[in-house]
Amino acid sequence: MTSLLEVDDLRVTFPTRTGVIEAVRGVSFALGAPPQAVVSAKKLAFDGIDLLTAPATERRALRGKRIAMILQDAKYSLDPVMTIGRQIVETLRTHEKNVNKAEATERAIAMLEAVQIRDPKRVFDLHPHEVSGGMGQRAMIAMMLIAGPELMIADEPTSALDVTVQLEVLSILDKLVSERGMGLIFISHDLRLVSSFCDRVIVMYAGKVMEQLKASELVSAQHPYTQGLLDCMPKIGADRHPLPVLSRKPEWAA
Amino acid sequence: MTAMLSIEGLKVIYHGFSALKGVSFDVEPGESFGLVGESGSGKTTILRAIAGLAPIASGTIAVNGKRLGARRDKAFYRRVQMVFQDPYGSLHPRQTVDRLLQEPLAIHGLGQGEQRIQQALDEVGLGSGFRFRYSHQLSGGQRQRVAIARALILEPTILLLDEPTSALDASVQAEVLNLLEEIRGRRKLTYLMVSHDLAIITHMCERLMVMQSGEAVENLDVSQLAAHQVTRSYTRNLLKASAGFDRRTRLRP
Repeated sequence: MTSLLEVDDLRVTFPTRTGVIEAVRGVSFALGAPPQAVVSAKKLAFDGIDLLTAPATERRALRGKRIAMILQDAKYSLDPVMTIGRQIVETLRTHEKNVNKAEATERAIAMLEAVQIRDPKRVFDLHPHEVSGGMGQRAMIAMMLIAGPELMIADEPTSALDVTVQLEVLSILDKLVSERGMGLIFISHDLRLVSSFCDRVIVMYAGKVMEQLKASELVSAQHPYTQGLLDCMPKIGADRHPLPVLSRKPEWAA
Repeated sequence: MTAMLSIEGLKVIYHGFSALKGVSFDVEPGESFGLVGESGSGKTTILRAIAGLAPIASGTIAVNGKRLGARRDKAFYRRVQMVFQDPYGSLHPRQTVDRLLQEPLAIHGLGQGEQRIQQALDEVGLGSGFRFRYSHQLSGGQRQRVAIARALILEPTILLLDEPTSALDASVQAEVLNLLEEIRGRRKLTYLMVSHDLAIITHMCERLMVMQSGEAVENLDVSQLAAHQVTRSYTRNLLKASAGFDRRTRLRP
């Protein structure tokens, strides 16, 4: 059986004025049922489609339709001169050509409602600067979900939100994973959230995988980097002054 | 003992929108006082009103027993300094660290600039190697240290801290929180700190006020919060939310 997403020995480098930055240095993992990683040499495949060799048009059809991505900062990621509704309708009609305008509007409003926006008809006609951070983030989630993706990549989707809104957004994502079987890659530096929300965790440092483990076992992580990250967060009721800080070892980046 | 900072019935109205609806509290000298609540609850507005950056509709603010007028004088800004939430937005992109730190000295006509800048950088753990860099050459944690140095260079007695670590990741956050605690101990400063993270507030402060839609929900000692001795359901929800994601709980009202 194949996985939904397979990543094997992924490397990303950026040439800069001061030399080549190796942002990702050989990362491998797989996502989707079954959970065992399928190892094959240097591969980046989505549902069997090799993303490294797929033609641009094929990749373009995948993006937004089958693979969607929620970016960290909704305020900057949404188009500032388009209403929220128009942006959602645009995504939908790009991927489903046979949807007419009236139906698209109706589905966009329904989707805004599904992400717990209280007055979806009003928000549909608003521009991104007219909504709060939490609402902007939910509008973006609605836009990403409208085409019914099989894989969602969420890059710090809740970092800009406060705790109560954070949990609302997470429960929306959680519902989609459990009800529609959507795959979710959740990128975050908040280990408290990750350990309570995700199933599996990959801990990365300097472009490399430090450790891969079950989220429920995160508290008993083996790698000193993971342990340090967990330890340096203030906890309610703990009296630790000063807080332990993470001392980065050069060998982790080796 | 007079309170270092005393706020009485503070109201702020922006274009007909009531951001603060009559808030009162006192902060004792040397105390660290926390303000928590969701976004839009008015935490930052309190800091901005104290700093003279928000339109005060009514109410009084007194620093060390002295009531503030409509305009803040220079002496006020030597006593009260603010560190902003976003170190990417609060530093001038075309000024070096040196220039950034000279600005407050020039405004207040303080001499021995050389020595003061050196000392301020040492105090926040940056050292002279950072002095002639631009802010884009610094990491988020280093930028926030520069912002703290800029506030400290005037030797204030009160620091207004607006989510000083929310833009930083966990390990850098711990470093900046430790720095703030250490400086407070050494200089006997009074902190008024805003955060939406209850864990940070319980770590940094002695007392806190929970806020919701421009009003105070309740005042607590940190020990009460840690023992979950809270009276209002809103605070209880915040505590629950701080514990992490739980599939069974639905937090929607």
